Amino acid sequence: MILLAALALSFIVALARGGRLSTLEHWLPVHGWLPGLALLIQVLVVALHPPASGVIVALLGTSLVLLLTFVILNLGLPGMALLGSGLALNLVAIAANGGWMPVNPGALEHAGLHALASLPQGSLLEGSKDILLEAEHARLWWLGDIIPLPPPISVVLSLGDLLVAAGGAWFWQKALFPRPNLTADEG
Amino acid sequence: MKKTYWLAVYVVLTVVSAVVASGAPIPWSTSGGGG
Repeated sequence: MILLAALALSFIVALARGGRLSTLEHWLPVHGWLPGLALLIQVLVVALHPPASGVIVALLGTSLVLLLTFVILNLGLPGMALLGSGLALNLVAIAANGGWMPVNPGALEHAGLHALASLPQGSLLEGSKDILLEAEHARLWWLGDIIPLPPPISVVLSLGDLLVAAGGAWFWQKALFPRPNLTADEG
Repeated sequence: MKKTYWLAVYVVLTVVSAVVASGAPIPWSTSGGGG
């Protein structure tokens, strides 16, 4: 939810700065169904919380490939390179840890999520694609979920998550305003 | 006006989907939405 909150805040700030929805027609993403399908796959996988298997890992991997394709096709849009960088970092961390995102128990403690932090090493956290791993047991642990936001937010983020949020926020700061070259053409 | 509305809906849904799916697998993740 913290990423959604960051997006919403950026949207409101852009409107407060004088941004207009009508400018969005100049910043249209192509193949918008790709992230929609990727999110649908992830939601279904988590909502059904099936036992961990190669099929589940493949489905989650497929969703990330769909997202990567979307980012590549839309690299010209503002913030997309930043978002893509974050996605790539998350993808590397997930790929290095067998298809699951490592989450640090200490970070969970700092975020106030004590019950989750006390689960056995290697536990898959229900409702997520995270796996509980101490730094010494996680590959590329520094790309995992290691950044705690304490209660009442109680969130653990990765470096990739921060870049993704920054990319999404940057998009609204540009997309609610006319493209400079179009403004010059129209003037 | 109607066209602008639908374009805005399309862009908002696309960007929200991209951000949520890229960073956090789901917004109600038990780890608080960490990816």
